[in-house]
Amino acid sequence: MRILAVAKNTFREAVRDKVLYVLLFLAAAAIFGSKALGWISIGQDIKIVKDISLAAISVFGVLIAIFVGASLIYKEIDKRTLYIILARPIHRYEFVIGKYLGLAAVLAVVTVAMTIVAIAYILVLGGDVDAVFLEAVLLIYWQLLLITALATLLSSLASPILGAIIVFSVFVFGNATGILVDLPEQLRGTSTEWIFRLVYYVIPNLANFDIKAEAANGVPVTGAYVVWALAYGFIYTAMLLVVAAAAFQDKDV
Amino acid sequence: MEIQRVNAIVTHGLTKTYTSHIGRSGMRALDGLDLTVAENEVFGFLGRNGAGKTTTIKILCSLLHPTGGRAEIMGRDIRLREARRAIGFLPENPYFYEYLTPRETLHFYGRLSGLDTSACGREWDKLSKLLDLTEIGDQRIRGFSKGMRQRVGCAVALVGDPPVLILDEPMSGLDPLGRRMVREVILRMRDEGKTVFFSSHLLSDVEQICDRVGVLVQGKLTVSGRLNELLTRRIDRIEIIATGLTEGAAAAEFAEAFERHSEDGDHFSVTEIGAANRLVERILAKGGRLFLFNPMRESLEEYFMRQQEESR
Amino acid sequence: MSTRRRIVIPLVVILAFAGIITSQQRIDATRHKEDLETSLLYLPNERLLTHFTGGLSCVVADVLWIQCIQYTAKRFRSEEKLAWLNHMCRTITRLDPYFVAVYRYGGVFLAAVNADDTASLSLLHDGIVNNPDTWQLPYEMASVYLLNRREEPGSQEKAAAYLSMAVATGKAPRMVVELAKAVMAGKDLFEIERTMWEGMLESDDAFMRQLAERKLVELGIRETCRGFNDAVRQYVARHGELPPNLDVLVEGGTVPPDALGGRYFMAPGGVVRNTTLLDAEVAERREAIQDAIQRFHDAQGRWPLALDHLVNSGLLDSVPAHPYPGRAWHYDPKSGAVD
Repeated sequence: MRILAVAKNTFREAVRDKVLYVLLFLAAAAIFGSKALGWISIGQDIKIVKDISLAAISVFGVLIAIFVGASLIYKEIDKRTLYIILARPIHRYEFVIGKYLGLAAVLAVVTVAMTIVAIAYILVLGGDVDAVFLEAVLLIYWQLLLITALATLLSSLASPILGAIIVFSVFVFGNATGILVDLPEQLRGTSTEWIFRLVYYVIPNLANFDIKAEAANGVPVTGAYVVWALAYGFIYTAMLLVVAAAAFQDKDV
Repeated sequence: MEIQRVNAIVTHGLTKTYTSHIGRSGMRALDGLDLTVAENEVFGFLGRNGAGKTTTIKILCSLLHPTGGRAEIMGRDIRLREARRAIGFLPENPYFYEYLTPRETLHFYGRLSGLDTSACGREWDKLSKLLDLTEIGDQRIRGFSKGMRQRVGCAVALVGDPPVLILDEPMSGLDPLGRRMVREVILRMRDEGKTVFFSSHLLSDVEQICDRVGVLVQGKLTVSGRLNELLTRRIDRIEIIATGLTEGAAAAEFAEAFERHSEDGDHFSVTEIGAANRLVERILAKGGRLFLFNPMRESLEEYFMRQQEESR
Repeated sequence: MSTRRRIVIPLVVILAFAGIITSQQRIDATRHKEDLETSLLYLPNERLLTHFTGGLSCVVADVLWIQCIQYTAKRFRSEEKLAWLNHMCRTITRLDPYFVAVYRYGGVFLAAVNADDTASLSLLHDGIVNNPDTWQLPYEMASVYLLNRREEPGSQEKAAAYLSMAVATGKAPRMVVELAKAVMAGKDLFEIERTMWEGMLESDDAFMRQLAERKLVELGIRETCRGFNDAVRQYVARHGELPPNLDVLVEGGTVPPDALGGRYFMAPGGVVRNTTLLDAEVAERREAIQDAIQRFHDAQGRWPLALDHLVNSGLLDSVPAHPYPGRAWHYDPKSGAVD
């Protein structure tokens, strides 16, 4: 119940912030504007609208996750709103998890809102939306959950700017870890390969959550893939949250 | 038969050293603090800025972890969550979520204390009346003045009816009206049987409402005790103002006691009650009229300064 | 805000924008215009590009695709070769391996404009590997074999195989099915054809499924016909003459009717035919003639006097022969009916 109270308050903070609506407006503008690209694409307009819709959901979600997430706990420390909360009979992990869940709820609402806009627009344009599109959205959200967990962890350790830079780097590189196993021949069997492989497994592989290409082209994805991707995200996110709670446990505020 | 009395706040050798990450040099903010606050007592925690008052309070509220020593609130170790159930905390310059209204704020902290929604509603009804928040209850805190914020802060500290109130500089930065409000709240809480522990560097306020005080100097408690025990309250001089004396005569006749002339009259100062009586008789004999007779006691301010001096 | 400010500030904003737009136009006019082709030189290695789009590879692919269209359109008009087309298509499909249109139009333009059928086939092939369920890519591949490589031996067979692949997806339009039939006609590519029709049994289109069922039965009949023809040849080799009838060729002495109730018979010259297949062919050809007659009527307001007139007026290349040996079409110039 205390976790829920913190989560609800975090959610309330976000929905009372104008920035959220600006971002939503920009996302909707991107989705509606995508038709303009479609005009000169030789019959590929629905595909391009789908591509840009999914990209908008992903990018704006990531922006919210990074910029709200990176200051999630730091702001409470900095503005000293934390004092009264932690002096209450609440476990510190309850506070961390509550903050996280609040932001996760915000992201859920934002994702669902953008998805509804995108689907409505695609249907109006005469396209059709299949299961893989919704699976793609689910995996995007799952990726946001992971990024938010990382941002939450960093927000209890570092300043928001530093945290945002680190999370953004992880986001970019996490989408590119494939390059570590996609090696040129001459590196095969060397110790470099092993180091790269280790790094490959350590850095969150965000490309796992990227089935946007399949969704935009209506190529089905196996259920097993989705389930494993969800499991991967869940485990990684849970681990980050445990570390975040532990890091915050003994922190002097 | 001996009545087992639980002390509200007890600390044993509480020590806090802030370590900077670069180098191992530490700053010792608290140095073996032993403190006992009895139940239903108003305890004034005095000290200059940087003496360690806020550090102590943060440790009591589990915001900081002590480097050494331990502390108990209502007999429970502060490391336990139950200890915090007994605390109502008002930080210095309380910060709230600006986007919430006082009503929402109170509900939020009530929920964190484990109250359900209807209990939070009852608390709001009670506290908004006590602290005069009814009218501003549904406005966002963003535009609130310092005094309004302090009222909200008091309400938040009182949510859930905790037996121990810990207030950090509750009167700093408030206007006289605000101070009186805080003072009334503290006294009222004492009447309700609560323990109030508050820090201040404003000695005049402490003087008026505290049962006991402790003075913190450089992380150590130098003295603590009942105010009237601590202060000898000796009369160190007597101020007398008289009117009706001819100009110039006052300075000439009573040169040993004369201080200055003001619109009120002629000011005299003597250090002993017998000398004062003799002086008054002479003034009256000269046709003067007594305007003011004021025995000056040592103030807490001066007492506090003396403690600081002595501890050096 | 005072009234004066209310007027002045929007005015300032408008004036500022006028200045901003003017200066932007000047900048654009003055700055060295980067050629699209030059900018393509900076297109990074697609392997790196795929990794560092931050999960936005599809959008990057879309933007490149639009650039690719512009590039193609510009070059196409100037009738130059599209030197960068293959590289662009490769990059785009690496970014979005399911972008069927890119494989398709890339393949078409590489073959048609650049006459680079090797690159075209390679691109289309990779497209099929990534998108085995699309009919367009094998269809374009067959087209390359039929057009660019028609001189090469065996290209007809390859085209037939790819067309059957297209039809086997069950999504191909009738035009493709007809082409597949035409390419396969007269070639005993039974296995390819069977795969094609069996694939089409999975089609979402009920008409296509029925067609496939029917065609599979017909395929069986045609195979039986071939078996009979072989038997006839063996009989001739052994006895030095044609068999008196087909019944002597089978054990049991009677040829059973086919699955659709038609019968097998031996046409003059010893060729074994089947009434089901012939009837289907009769219906098909009659329909083609009837269609031409109708178009003649629509154009001239009267029925043609003879079927030859259809050829003279360009509606038919030739009047198709009646499938049954020794029979001819009965045409009634009064009603325009063919029988």
